[in-house]
Amino acid sequence: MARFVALLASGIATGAILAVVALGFVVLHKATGVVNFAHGDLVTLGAYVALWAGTDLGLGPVPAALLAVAALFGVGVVIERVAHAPLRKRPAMTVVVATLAAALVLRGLVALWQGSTPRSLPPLLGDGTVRIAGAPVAVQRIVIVAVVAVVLAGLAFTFTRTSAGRQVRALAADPEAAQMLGVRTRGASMLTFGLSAALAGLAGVLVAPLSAVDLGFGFGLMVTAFAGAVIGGFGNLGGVALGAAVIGIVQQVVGGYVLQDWAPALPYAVILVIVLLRPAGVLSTGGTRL
Amino acid sequence: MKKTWGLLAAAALALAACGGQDADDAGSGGNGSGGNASADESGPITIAALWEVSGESDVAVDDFQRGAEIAVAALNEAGGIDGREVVLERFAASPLDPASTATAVQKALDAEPSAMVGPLVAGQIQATSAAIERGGVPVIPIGNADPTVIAGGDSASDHVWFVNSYIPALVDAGVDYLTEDLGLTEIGVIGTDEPFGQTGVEQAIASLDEAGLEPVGGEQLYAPDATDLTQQVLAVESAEAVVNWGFPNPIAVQLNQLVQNDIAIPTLTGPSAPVVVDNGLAEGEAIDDLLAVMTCNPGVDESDASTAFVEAYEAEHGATPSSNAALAHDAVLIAAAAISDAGSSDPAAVQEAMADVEVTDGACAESYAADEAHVLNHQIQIVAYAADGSSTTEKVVEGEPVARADG
Repeated sequence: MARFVALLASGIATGAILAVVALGFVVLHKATGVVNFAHGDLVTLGAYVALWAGTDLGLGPVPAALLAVAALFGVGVVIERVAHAPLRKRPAMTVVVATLAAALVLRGLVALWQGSTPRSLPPLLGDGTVRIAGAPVAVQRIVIVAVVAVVLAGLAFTFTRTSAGRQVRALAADPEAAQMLGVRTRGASMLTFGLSAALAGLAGVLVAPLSAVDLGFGFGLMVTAFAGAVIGGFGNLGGVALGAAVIGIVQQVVGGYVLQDWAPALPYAVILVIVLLRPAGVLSTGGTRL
Repeated sequence: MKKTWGLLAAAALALAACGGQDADDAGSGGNGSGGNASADESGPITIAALWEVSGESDVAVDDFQRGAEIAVAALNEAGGIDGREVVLERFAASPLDPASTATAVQKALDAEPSAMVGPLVAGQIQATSAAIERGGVPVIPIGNADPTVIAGGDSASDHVWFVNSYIPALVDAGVDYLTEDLGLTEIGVIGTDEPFGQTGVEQAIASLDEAGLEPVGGEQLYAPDATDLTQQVLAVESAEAVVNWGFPNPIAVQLNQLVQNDIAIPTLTGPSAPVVVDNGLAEGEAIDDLLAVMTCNPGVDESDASTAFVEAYEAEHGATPSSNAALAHDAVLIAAAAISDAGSSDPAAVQEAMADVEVTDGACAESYAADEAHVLNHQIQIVAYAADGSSTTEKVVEGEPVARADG
């Protein structure tokens, strides 16, 4: 039982991280039509900003993490101004290539700023463990699940109950109609880029204490989270969160008991099954609403 | 829609490819004068370096260049090689990107060096072995010798000579230490699911098999960028020790997760250990049972040559050198010794001299001499770390000569 609980806790925490990463680029894609391939490097940048805030500014882990998330919101806005706004009328692929360029520029800048040696980021609330049904679970994993739950609730509230959220949803559903009805595309676009980057930064500061930070650290997360988003249908927030959770739990629990050698490939096997059985994703209703 | 997804997939692949291709242009660690070494037997002697410096890729560090520069400076201070100045000319070759290595090798060959030092990993040699063979210039990589690239191997060139130890010999010595010196019988084996990790895992299982043992929990492989090794840690929880052959980040994850799961057993790993400890990726209790099987341990090794190198490095850079820096230093010394033995800077003569070259004042190993697999270094150390990050050399093993592969 303890083994199952340990694997399940690990799977849920992994799924939670993937959900935050996936939501970041799904929100952006739905609102602006852009798949941002710099998203993984924004995850990395978030972790490095928190590291810098902790070591150079002397902030504690929580203030450093908050500063990193806020800073990443700003970075997202800058990316929107530099790599998206000038290309808004261009074909989607032009913008995608611009995000690739942004990824390389970000990675190069981080390399010059922080070097390429792996670094360690302290956990938000210490490196202790708590026992759940006899299984030791790292406090950081519990923090991850709690923070992600709050963020998901906050996103749901924002998109359904606030004016800004409704504007972003309108933009996602029908950009031209939204503009005719007075939605300010520029502001909504900047907000969405900022929100997406902040979610990437949050993922970075949450997952980095479990491993170590290096320049390629966010890229692998982005690829796996992309799988979660596909499973969820690249559509509503609940579907994406569910897809990411499925990836995490399948990888840890199924990979922990059977198919151990295949654990890293399991998310992609799940994608194949989902795409075959339900091509639009597990919770997709066929629409494009967030 | 299909077209859009196809384009997105192509873009994703492009990003993956670009991820490791941050730089491939030449820089220079020397005076840039180059020199036509094979044609001019009186001018400067060029040694080409095939590695990056910080900022050129995700994994680039300055250790190699710094170590080599110290060797070149010492050689020139002592009058060069037979009175000729030594020039180190660097060409950026990323270990993440075989294509950049191929370009770097070609550029280096165009500079007509007498020998080349670097690259860093077996994958780079595999990608360039044909070009190296055609170029006819002896190459001394810094990374560990791998069964596929030693002389006679599937992807080998006879012009490649290894300053670092043979991976299977390292792993075998580590497993022997656990089973024979520590008397352990329940040993788990985990590692990264890529060639470096798989070579280590396969050898560890073979070494256990020779001792009549089987790995606890079977063979456990994980992705090189894994951030959660709960499965692997729980699979070896009944073991008395675990061998983990992989990269620094996931090794740190495993060490921390052993502590979180109240599993207090030694972890034996390879050259990743100093990176984990020196960068604080795991600390305190997590590294208290960490063992590393390595070629050398600068700062702890007590030979005169090692001490002199550490002092020179610390004076220049304010930090203790890594084993990689020491190996890069020694690669230059070996190349210089072969050029001197050949009595010529002609690469063909240097290649011939490599078979009999002997260096006895290395900063990493105390002696270098080639075996039939072209492995020059047979020194293996078992290093134990303490919770405060300090290390002690528990055992020094002189490995057996490696037989030529019959691939």
